[in-house]
Amino acid sequence: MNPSIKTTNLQKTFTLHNQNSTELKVLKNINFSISPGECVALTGKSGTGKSTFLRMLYGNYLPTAGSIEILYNDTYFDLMNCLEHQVIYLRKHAIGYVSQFLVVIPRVSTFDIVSNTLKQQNTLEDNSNEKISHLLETLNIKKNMWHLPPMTFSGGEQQRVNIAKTFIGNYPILFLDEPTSALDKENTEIVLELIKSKLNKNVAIITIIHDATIRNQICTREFNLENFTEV
Amino acid sequence: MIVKDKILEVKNLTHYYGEQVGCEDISFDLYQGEILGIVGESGSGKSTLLKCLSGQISPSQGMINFCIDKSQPLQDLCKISEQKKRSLMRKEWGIVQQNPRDGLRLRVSAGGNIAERIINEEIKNYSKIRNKALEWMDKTEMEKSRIDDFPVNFSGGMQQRLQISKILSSNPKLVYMDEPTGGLDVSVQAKLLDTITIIVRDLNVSMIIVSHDLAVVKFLTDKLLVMKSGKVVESGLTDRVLDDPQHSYTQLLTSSILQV
Repeated sequence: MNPSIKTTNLQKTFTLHNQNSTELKVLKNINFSISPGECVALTGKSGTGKSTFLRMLYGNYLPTAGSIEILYNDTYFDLMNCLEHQVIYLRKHAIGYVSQFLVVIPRVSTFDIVSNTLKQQNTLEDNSNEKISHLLETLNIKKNMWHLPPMTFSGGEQQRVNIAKTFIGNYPILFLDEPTSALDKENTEIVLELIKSKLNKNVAIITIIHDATIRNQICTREFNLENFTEV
Repeated sequence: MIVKDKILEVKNLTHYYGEQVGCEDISFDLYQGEILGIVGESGSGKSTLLKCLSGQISPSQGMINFCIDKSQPLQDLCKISEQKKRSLMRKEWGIVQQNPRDGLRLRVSAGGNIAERIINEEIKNYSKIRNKALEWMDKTEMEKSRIDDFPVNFSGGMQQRLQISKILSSNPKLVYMDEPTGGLDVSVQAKLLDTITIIVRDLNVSMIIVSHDLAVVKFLTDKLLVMKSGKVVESGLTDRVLDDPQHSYTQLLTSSILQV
C-alpha cells in the first residue's frame, strides 16, 4: 500500500530574530512514512519536537528544509508547494487534527460544531443528526449540553467535544495530540475504542501520548524523535 | 481536483504619494471563497493598498487583474473605463468602511439602506425586497423591528451590522473590509466578529480584510499579508504566519500580543 504521508530530509530550525537571532535547531533529516491502518506514536523527551513535527505535517509550521507529501484520493500533494487554499482543502478532507485544546467560534453550539465537520466535507445527510447524536452519546456528553457552546465545559468534556468534532468526519489521516490527557479511565477506554475502529477502517494515525500503557493499547509502532535532534 | 477560480491577481502594485511610498511592489493572488487579511502597523500601507484594489485610487505602477466573467481572462482594472469601474463597484464588489457612517445613508431607513443595493439585482417587488432586508437584519442579529428606523440613531455596533447587511445582501463577488470592528468596545467586537465569521463561511464569498488586530485576522482569514513600510514582508496561511512567523517584524508583532 502507498504511504499516506512521506517526509524526506525534513528539518526545522527556529530563528528568533528579536533575540539576537538565536537559532534553535530542533529536528533534522527526518525520513518518515506512515501507511493506512498504522498508528504511529511519536516519542521522545519533552522538548524534542514531537508537536513541532506534527505541526509541520499539518502545514502549521514551516519546515526549514526537506519535503512533505500527503496522499489524498490517490494523488500525492507536496505540502510546501501547495497554495494556501489547497492546504485548507487538505485539512478539511484529508487530515483531521485533534489538538490539545479545543478552538472554536464562540456562541456556536456543541452539536453544530460537530455537524460543521460534515458540512465542510459535503457529507451532511438526512440521517446525519442520528450519527452525531450517537457519537456524542458514545463520548458521554450529556444531551442537555448539546445545544450549549463548549467554552464553559470542563477540560474533559471539551476534549471529548474536540474528539467528536474530528471523529465524525471521514478523514484518511488523523493527528491526535494527547487525546486522552484530561480523561478519566472510563472515557479513555471509550476514546481508545473509537481510535481502534478508525484503524480498522484503514485510517493512518499519528499520535502523541505520554502514558506508555495507553500508547501500547493502540499504537502499532513508535517513532522516537530523539534520533533526529541536533546536538 | 483542488482547483479554484482565481478572482484577483495583483502584480507589482505600487503607489506613491509624491515622493512618499504608499505601498510598493505588492503581488498576490486571491481565489474564489478565500479570505485574505492584511496586517501591519499604522502607516504601513494597508489602507493605501486596499484603496488601490477597490478602485478608489489609481496605482502608480503594477497590475490589478480581476475576474469579471468566469469564461473570460482576467481584466486589468487600470485599463477599464471609469463607467465600467463604477458598475463593478456597485454590483461585484462591496466595501465595508471602517466608519459605518461613511457606508450608510443615515437619514434613510435601515431597510432602505439594504434595499438600495439589492434593488440593482433582479428583485423589483417591494415585499420581496423588504423580506430580504428583514432576513439580512436577522442574520446579522439586528432587531427586525428597527427596519423602519433611521441608522443615525443606531449605536456604532448596530450601524456596523447594518453596513455589513447592506453589502453582503447584494451577493458581491469580492468584499473589502477596512477595520470592520475598529472603534467598537470589546464585547460588541467579539459578537460582531463571530457573526461575520459564521455568515462568510456560509456565503463562500471572497474577502480582503485590513486590520491591525491580530485576533480579528486569526478568526476571520485564511491567509495573510504582513506589511511594513509599504512592503509585504511575509505572507502565507494565517495560522502558519501567526504560529511560526519567519520575518523579524512578524515575530515582533506576534510576541507583542498580551495574553489574557
